[in-house]
Amino acid sequence: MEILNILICWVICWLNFVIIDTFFGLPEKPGVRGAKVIGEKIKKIGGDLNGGYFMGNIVCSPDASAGTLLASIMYYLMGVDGGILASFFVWIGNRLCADPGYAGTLGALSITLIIYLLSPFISPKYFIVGMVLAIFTIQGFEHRYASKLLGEIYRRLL
Amino acid sequence: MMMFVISSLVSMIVAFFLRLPLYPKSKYSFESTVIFPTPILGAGIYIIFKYLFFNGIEIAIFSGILGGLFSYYSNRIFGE
Repeated sequence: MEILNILICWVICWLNFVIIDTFFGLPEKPGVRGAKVIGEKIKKIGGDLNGGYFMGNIVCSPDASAGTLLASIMYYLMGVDGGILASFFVWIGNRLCADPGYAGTLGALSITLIIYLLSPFISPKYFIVGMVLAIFTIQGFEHRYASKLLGEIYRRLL
Repeated sequence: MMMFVISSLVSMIVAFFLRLPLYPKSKYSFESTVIFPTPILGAGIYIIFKYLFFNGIEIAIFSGILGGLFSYYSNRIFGE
């Protein structure tokens, strides 16, 4: 039962942050110079340039991935208050990182809404595990295939 | 839940009277607008004050005013 909950949360968190980040243009262009360097490096080892920009932008400023993780942690600690507080702090972090902050803030708000709607069935702690697994599949497992997948999603969606 | 709505609405009204634009022009625009990020700032400041002081409608209205001002001056605080 625990494994099933973790798998469901993994899928929900993955879809939440990938769709919001793609929609707000993370794969389109690098926001800061560090993201550009990471994108070009990933292209050099055989990945996709747009997927590389996506991964570089995730590293260089708090986007919907960080928003999802922080909002699920804060929801676990403080309930709905925590989710909205997390989106406020994610916005401040975004502005400190020279990012307008649409993706991170809306990602935190949307995962707060999802956890609130699913709270009778799934405890918020599973969303923390799910988000850690989701970010591991993007950033930690295999950069080439992850960037190709993200670039493909970007070209299909937009 | 009611207090979130009050603080967000007050912050949006303050931002409206400070003549911020209603909605962002593009998804890369740094400009503060009435629908983003003003209500989030109002609600966030309200939660901080609620945990620091007490829960009440005056705290919600006060944090709404602060949120509107913070949104108005955010480009000067953080730079663009």
